[in-house]
Amino acid sequence: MSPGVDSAMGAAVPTLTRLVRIPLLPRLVRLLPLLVLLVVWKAVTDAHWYPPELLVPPSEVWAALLELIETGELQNHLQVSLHRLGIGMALGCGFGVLFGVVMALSRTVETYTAPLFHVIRQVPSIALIPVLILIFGIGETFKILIVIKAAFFPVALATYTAVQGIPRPFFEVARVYQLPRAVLFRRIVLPATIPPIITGVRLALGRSWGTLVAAELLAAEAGIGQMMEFARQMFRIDVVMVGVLITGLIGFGFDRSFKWLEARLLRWRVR
Amino acid sequence: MAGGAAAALARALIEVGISNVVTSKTWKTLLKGMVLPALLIGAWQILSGLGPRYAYAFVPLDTLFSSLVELIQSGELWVHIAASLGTALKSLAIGGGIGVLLGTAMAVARPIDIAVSPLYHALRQVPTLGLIPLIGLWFGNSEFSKILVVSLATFEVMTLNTYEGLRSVERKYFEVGQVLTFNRAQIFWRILLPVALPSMLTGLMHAVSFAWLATVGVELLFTVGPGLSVIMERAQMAERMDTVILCISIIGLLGLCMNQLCVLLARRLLRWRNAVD
Repeated sequence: MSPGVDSAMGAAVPTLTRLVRIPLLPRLVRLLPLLVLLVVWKAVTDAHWYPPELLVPPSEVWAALLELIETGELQNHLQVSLHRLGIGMALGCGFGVLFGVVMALSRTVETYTAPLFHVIRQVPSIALIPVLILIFGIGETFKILIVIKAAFFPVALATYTAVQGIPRPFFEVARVYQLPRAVLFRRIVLPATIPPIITGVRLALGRSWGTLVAAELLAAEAGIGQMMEFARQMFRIDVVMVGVLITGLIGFGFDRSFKWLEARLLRWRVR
Repeated sequence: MAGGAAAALARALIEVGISNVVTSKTWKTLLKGMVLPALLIGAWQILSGLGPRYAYAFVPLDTLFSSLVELIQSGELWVHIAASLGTALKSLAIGGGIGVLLGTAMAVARPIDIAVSPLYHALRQVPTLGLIPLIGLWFGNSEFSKILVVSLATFEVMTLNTYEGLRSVERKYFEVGQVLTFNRAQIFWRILLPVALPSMLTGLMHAVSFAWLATVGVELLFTVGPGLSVIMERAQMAERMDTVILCISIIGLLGLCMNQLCVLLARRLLRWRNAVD
């Protein structure tokens, strides 16, 4: 955060008080706008401006959430979605790391594969859905393949950049200390490359999650996306809103945990 | 015709090679980069000849070419390309414009930041395409819904990058501004904006690729009006693999071209920075 912008634009206010005030902002104040939104939402539904098929009060969304949990429906859909995400991410990240390392270490591999890699990277994962459906049908395979495609490229790119970015002096120091290869790998290569790779995995996870939900909206027998799509066809706006909420919460949860992991793995870095 | 397309493809590949993999720019490297695609195309052609089962997935190249000619001659292709590009660009202008305005407002006015950023960050957590069922219920299968979803995708990136760019301005620059007795407008145009520009351009680059991705997504999910993914979806239903493959290639190529335009734009707008370095 830069307090400079405030002091410059808010001309008269002394910078120091700004500096002190920002961290002291109670967390509750940050939640206030969300509470206001809830109150406005409630007021609008109470005023019956919109038909209930279009806007239901927050309490009904909450009730729908509880009902979906009680019947176990939500857990089922989530389990299916997360299972697909898990397999796809594991394979996509695995291949991504492997390919990134090879491309960074071998000049030959880089020259031969880089153009194709960058061209395919630009093709939106979602555009591949129709062709995958034509080849593999609307079963599990196509959804997992879509997740793999969405995960592979960010991870491969992050790994490539990370491995290429290890500063040369690190290796020189290792040579001076005559570090064995295993130690060099464990104490230098891994700490230098893992954090940026984790950043790539975090990006990949966000994109894969969005792509998977979209794929489930298009064609699935179960999953959080299918739950929303089915609810839309049934005009169950409360269930659709629960779906949106849960999708957002899961995305948020993934993002936060990986950011935490990044920060933890970078503790050693001198600031 | 084919020669022209191949040359365009080669140029696009070369551009990507240069801008993304800044290695040696010799022709030899570029030719080596074409080896793998050429091998894959060769393997494709061989596999397509192995029998009808293979020919279904690996559509023979001459079939692909004749369906491309057919699509172009019927004039259909241009209508759909124009529709898709139109959706993407309109949304980019609307979403990106609002994003830049909101990001700026949040960065320079603390009350707006406090009031809006929790709502913004809450919205940002939901994958944009995941909002489609909700927006579909509210606004129907309409052109408006499509524009809304794609605009949201670009809005989210542009807001964040504008905000972060403006907040990253270091204190010392303001001190220079004070020494030069700049007024507020001058501080904004001469200090804040130039410093924030690289981050905003990165945002634009992401916004363009998200806009394209979201356009493909909304066209697949709201099957209304013309659009490249609409023909792709229709071809999927009719099991016309050739058309599906052509559509993917065109979507990919157009995405690549837009990305390269952004790279060129960024290079041009940031000339001054390289001159200083």
